[in-house]
Amino acid sequence: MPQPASPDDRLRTKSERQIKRRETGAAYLFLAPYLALLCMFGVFPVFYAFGLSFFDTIEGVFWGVTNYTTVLGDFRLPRSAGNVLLFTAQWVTMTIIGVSVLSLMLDAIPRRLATTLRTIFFLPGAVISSALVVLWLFVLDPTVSPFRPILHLAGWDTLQSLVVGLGYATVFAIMSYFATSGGWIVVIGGALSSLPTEVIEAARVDGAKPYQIALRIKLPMIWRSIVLMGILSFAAGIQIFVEPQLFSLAGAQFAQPDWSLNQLAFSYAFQMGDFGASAALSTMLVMVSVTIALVIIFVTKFYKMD
Amino acid sequence: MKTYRSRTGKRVLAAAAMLSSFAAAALAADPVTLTVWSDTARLSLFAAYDDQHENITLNVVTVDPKDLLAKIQLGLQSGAEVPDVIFMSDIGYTSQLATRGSNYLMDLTGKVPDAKLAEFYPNANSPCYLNGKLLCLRNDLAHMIVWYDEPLMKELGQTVPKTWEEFAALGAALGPKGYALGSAVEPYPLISYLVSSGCELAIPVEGATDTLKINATSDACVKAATMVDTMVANGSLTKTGPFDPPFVALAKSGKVPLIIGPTWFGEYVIKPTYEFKPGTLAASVPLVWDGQAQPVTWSWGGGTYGGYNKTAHPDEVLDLIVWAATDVSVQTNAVTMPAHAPAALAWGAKLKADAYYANAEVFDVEVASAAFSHPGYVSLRIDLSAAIAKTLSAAISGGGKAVDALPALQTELTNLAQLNKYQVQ
Repeated sequence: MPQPASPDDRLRTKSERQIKRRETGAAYLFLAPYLALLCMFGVFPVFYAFGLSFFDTIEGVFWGVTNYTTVLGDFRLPRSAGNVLLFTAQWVTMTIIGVSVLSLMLDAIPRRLATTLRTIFFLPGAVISSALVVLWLFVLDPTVSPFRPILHLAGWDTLQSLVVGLGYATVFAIMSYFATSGGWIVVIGGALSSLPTEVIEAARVDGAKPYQIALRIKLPMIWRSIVLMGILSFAAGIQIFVEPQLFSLAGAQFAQPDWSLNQLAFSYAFQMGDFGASAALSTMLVMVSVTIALVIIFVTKFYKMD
Repeated sequence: MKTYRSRTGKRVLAAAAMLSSFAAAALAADPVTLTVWSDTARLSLFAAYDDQHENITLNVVTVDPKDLLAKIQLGLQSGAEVPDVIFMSDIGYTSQLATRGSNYLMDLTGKVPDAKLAEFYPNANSPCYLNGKLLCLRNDLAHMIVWYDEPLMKELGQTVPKTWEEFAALGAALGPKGYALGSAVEPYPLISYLVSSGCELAIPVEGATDTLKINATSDACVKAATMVDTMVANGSLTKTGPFDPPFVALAKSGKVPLIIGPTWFGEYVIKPTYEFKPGTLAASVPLVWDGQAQPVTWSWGGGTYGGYNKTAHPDEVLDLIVWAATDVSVQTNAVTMPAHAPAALAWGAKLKADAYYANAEVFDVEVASAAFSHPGYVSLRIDLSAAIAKTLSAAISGGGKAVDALPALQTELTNLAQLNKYQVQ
């Protein structure tokens, strides 16, 4: 059976090919500044750390996997890994459910109001995370918080009792959720507004209720954006650093210098002066992130066109 | 001939003498620039040194005390410039800057005159000795003493405790009435309660390199921890930190008649934050346990000066460190009590004349208490305060008992010590 000519075959005249090549060239030109910066501050440090992780950084002697065995033998590692996984699980769940629900609800209300609300949701994300931690220390402290009555209702009368009651992982998950969800609500809102209106109209004509439209029509059409949000949140989550590092601002009794894996890497380099071990831990962290991202992308055929 | 010769000889000698004096002058005038990393409180001190020394210029860089260690380690690792002299706000930095990985600090052993060293208060320089080597000089003391509100104590009909047993009894009497005698969760006061009875949290073993004695579950530790638990139960030690709003509110409303705090507590916490009224604040020497010959008191802070072991100007660096820690005229105006006794005596005159305090004896108490400084208040590569926070403070704030958290503290400290390459006994 003769195959029908693909659209590509029809483009294969000489001038059309030249035009296509020129367009590709322009795309690379626009990508170049970003790629240069990515190589300098993203790719190069990863390879530098990878190389460093096999050396004794003081004498510059190659010593194989010694740094890795040092880090893997660290009694703090399982504890920190557990903390980070607990935090990431809570935060990613909050983000996926919270952002999806809010975005779908915003998409169902009048456009102008939705835009205003989206801007308001975005505001906390505009504050840098370190400042946000300090802000949250006030919000969560039952002795000074504007939400005192609610916190007292839950039985928390001091910041200590709240931290003990909720656990650090949950406290950090809440902080991170409010810091980043606003940005994602804007992104998912964008994905929702690009959905074909005729499909939604058709559903409405067929008698679908707003929640049915949201769950049965819109949600399946934006799942890729939600998965992307999940991947990026996971990758950011296992790198948690600022929240536990700055929590000691609330008092020395809250100091958590080795709560997360990134804090361990930091303490290896800047407290113990062991840059090799720090590099080994960082390399392992990057590998975990990259592996999980690759699995999700290829197993779910994320970038495959429908 | 003879005369001529001798004349020539004299001339030669004179010329040589002139030459050598020129050379000396030239040497003395040889300008030396030292880079100093300082905190903001020490800027005027370094400026004064710069003014008094014609041939030495100080390039003073203000560094956030918390970032000092990281910045030096980054500098050493990257081969960038590191300072010649540093002020270390954390006594832990000394041991962290004398490791194989960050071998920064200059060995001052035998370089500081013994007579000068003898002028420091007892154990003032123990945070500077590491495996028998002197690596820094202490700037200021911060030992724990008893602070109290004199009229309030009288009004309550209470006497100032001399022993920990009396302290516990005071807590039992006042706690149920809503008064507090301090925090049960702030790490440094907690450490001071524990070590006062001879509890060994992480004490270096004399003569053994990098060896620590850790025994957090001994009878001494249990005794002190039990006292804390009892006082938490009757409300006299709070589950909030001493800087937390609820505690500050308590102190401002006259509900903190007495608190154990470092020497800087009066000037920098009680006066500005707790707002005790002028003429009320007095101090007393550290407490003893029944049967203990003399008190032993922990410290909360105290900075040190150190130099770079690969500096181009070791003599000038040494001179600056010794001057900064011991110059009486400059230390007179220091923000906290100098560790160098003659300097401290000059410094204390202002405190004695300060009408804010209830009497002129506060400084005398600080001096007398300095003799009881714990020899185990040393520089460690492990963070004792964070280990206490994670175990005891967390247990107490969660409604648990300090006594029950001692085994967890023992495990945490032992693990931390081994991770940081200490032998544990």
